Amino acid sequence: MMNFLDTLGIPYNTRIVLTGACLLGASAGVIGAFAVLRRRALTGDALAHASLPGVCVAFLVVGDRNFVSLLIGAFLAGLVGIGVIAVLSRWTRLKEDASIGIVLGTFFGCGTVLLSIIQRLKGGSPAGLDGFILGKAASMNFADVRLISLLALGTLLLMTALYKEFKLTTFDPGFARAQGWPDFLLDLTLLIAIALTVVIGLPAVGVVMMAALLIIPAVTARFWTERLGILLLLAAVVGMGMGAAGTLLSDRPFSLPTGPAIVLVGAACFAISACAAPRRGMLARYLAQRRFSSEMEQRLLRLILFKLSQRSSTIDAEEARIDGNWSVPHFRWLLRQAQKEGTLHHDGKDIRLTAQGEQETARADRDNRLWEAFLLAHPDLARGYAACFATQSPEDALPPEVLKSLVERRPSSSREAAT
Amino acid sequence: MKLFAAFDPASAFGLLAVAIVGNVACALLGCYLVLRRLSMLGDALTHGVLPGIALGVLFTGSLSGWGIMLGAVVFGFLTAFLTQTVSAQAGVAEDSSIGIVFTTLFSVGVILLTLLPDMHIDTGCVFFGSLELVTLSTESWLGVFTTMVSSLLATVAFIVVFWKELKVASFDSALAEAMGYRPQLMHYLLMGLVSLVSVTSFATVGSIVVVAMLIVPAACAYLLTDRLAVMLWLAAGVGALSAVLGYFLVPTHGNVPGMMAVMAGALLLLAVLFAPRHGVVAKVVRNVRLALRIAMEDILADLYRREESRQDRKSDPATGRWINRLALARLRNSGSITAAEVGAWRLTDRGRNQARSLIRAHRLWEAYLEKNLDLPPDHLHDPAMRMEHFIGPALQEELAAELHEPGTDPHGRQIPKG
Repeated sequence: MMNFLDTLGIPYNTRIVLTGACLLGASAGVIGAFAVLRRRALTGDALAHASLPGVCVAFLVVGDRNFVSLLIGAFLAGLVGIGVIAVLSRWTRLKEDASIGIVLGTFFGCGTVLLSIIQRLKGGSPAGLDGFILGKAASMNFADVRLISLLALGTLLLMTALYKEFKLTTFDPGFARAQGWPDFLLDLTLLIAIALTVVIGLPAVGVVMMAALLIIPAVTARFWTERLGILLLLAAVVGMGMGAAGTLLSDRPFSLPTGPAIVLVGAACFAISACAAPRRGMLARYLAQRRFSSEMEQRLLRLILFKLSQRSSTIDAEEARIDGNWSVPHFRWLLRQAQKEGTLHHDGKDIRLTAQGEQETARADRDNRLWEAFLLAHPDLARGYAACFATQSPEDALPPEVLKSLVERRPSSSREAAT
Repeated sequence: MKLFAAFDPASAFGLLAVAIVGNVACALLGCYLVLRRLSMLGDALTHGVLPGIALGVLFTGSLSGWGIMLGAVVFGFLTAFLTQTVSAQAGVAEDSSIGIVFTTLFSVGVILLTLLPDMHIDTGCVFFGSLELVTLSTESWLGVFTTMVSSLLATVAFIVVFWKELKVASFDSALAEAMGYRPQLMHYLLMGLVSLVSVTSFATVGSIVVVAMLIVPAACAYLLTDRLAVMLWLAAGVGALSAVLGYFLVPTHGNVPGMMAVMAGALLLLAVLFAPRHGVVAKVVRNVRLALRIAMEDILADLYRREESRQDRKSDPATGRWINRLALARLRNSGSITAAEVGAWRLTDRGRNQARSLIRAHRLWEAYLEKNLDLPPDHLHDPAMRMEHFIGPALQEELAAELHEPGTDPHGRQIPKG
C-alpha cells in the first residue's frame, strides 16, 4: 500500500494522515453502525464532549502532555458521562434527549473551566489540550496512526468474536435476555468500544467530526442493504472512503481543513444514497408511491366501469368520470393507461371493457366483496391485513380456512351466478 | 475572587448583566425544547447556525450586528427543516438525522470561516466563547448588552403572544393541529428564536455552553414543577442564579461561561436529589413509607389470622428485617398491638378493627377474582396479598355489592363485616 502510494507521488506526511483517516473511518463506521441501529446515534457526540474534563484532569494529575494518559482520562470521563445520561434518563423524569444535552453541556463547561485553570497554572497556552477536542488531522504522526491501527484491529477482532451476540441484542434484546445472554455486559462492551473509538479519533478529527464519522457511514450504508453483515462492510467502506477523500481534498490543490472535508464527503455520500438508493432511497420511494396510487386508480376505474356495465354493455364515459370524481384531463390519462394495458376500448364517448378487462374487473369486484365480507366477519383481524386490502386478492392473503368460511357465508353475486 | 481580581464595578457587573440576560432568554426557550423532547435539536441548532454567522460576517464585514443575526436565523430554520426532511422523507431515525445535519452544516461553516483569514473568529472561539472579551470596551459592551436584551424581549414577547398555541403544541401536537393552531409554524418560530438567542450568546459563552444554558435550567425546572408557567419562572431563576454563582465562584482567571454551566449542573443535581415530588430523596421516602405501611398491615393481618385459628404470634423469621422491626415498634406505639408474653404479640381492639378491614379487603378480592377471572383457588392468595393494601372502604363496598355480600371467601373462610 505504502509503495503503491509512493509511486502515485503522495508525500510521506499525507500518506500517514491518509492511512490514519482511512482506518479511523472504517472502525468508526463499523462501531457507529451499532450505535445508530440501537438509536444511540448521539451518544458518541455526548461522549466526545464529555471527555474534555477527563483530558484536563489527566493533564493536571500526570503533569505533562503524555498522550496515553490523556486518552485514559478522556475515556474515563466519557464513560462517566454515559453513566450520568443513563442514570438521569432512567431514574428521573428527564427524557434521554435532555439527559444527553445536560451531560454534553455541563461536562464541556467543566472542561473549559479546568482548561483555564491549567492555562494559569502552567503559564502556557493549553493549545495541545484544546487541540485534543477540536482535532488536528494534519498533524497526525506515526504514533497516532499506530494507535488507530490497533483500534481498527480491535474492532475487527471484536466483530468476529461477538458478531452473533451483537446482532441478536441489537435487533431483539428481549429474546437475547430470554436466551440467557449477558445483555448488560454486551451493551457495556459496545459502549466501551464506542468510547474507545471516539477517544482515539478525537485528537485527529475533533468533536463534531467524530460524531459525523460514527453516524454518516452507518446511515448511508443502511440505504443499500437490509442485512447486518453487508451493512457493516458497507459502513466500513464508506467510512474509509470518507477518510481517504477528505484527506485528499485537504491536500494541495483544494487545501480544505481535513475534518470538515471528511464530513462533507460523507454528507455527499449520504445525499446520493438518500436520493438514489434502489429501495429505500427517496426517488425509489416516490416512484413506488406513484405506481401504487396509479394502480389504485386503475382499480377504482375498473370497479366503476364494472358497476356501470351491469346496466348496459356500453358505458357512458362522462358518467364514469363523475362517479370517480376525476378531472377531465386526468380521466383521459387514466383511460389511455387502461387502453394501453388492454382492459378497455374507448372511442371518444362510450367505453367497452375487453374480454381481458372484463375478467380482471370481475376478479377485482370479487376481491372487493370478499374483503368486505372479511371485514364484517372478522373485524378483530382487520388491522393485520390493512396493508393487503388494496393490493392483494384475499385468495392470496388470507389463510385458507378463513377464506372458505367467507365464500360459504357470502351470498353469491348475480354476475358470478351467470358465469 | 473574580470581583477582587478586576475591581472595576462597571465592567464586572456589566459582564454579569450580559450573562444573566442571555441565560434567562436561553432558559425560557429551553423549557419548550425540554418539553417537546427537542433538546438535541437545540444542540444541533447551535452548531448548524455557523455557516450563517460566517456568511453574515463575509457580507457585512462585521462580527456583530444584523448580518450574523439574519444568517443565524436563516440557517437555524434550515437546520430544523433539513433535520425534519431527512427523517421524514428519507426514513432516517430522528437522532441520526440530527447528527448528520448539524455536523454537515458545521463543516460548511468551518470551511467558510477559513475563507475569512483576517477575521478574529475561529472554531475554537465558537466552541469556547469569551465572556471576558465583551468588557474590553464600553462601546462593545453596550452593543452586546443591547442585542442580548432585545433577544430576551423577543423571546418574552413570543411566549406571551403565543402562550396557548405553544402550550397546546408542546403537550399535544395532534390536538394543536386539530384546533388549527399550526404546530409546525410554532415549531419553526421557536427554532428561529433559539437560533437568534444562541447566536447572541455565542460570542459570550460559546456554542457548547449555550446548550447547557438552554437545557439545564429548563430540566431543573421540569423536575420541580408540573405547571408550565411556574416552570418558565423557575427556569429563568435557575439560569440567572447559575450566572451569578458561576461569576462569583469561578477560580481567578477561570473561564466564566464554563463555570456557569457547571453551576447550572450543580443546581440540577440538587433538583434531582431534592425536588419535592420528582426528586430521588422524595421517591425513596415515598417508597419506604409505602413499604412500612405494607409491613404494618401484613403484621396486623397475620395476627388476625392467627387469632382466628387460635394461635399466638410467636417470634417470626420475618421480624428480622429492619422494616418489620420498625413496623412492630410503630404498631405498638400506636396501640394497635400489645405484648402478650416475651416474643409474642396480640391485637388490641383498635388493631383488630384495622385488621378486620384488611382481611375483608383480602377475602373480597379473592372472591371477586374467583368469580370474574376463573382462577383456581391456589392462585388467589398471592394477588390478594398485594391488592389488600390498596382496597379502601369505598372499594370494599363496591366489591361486596357486586358479589351480593358474600359470607365466605373461596377458601371457605368467613369474610368479616365492614
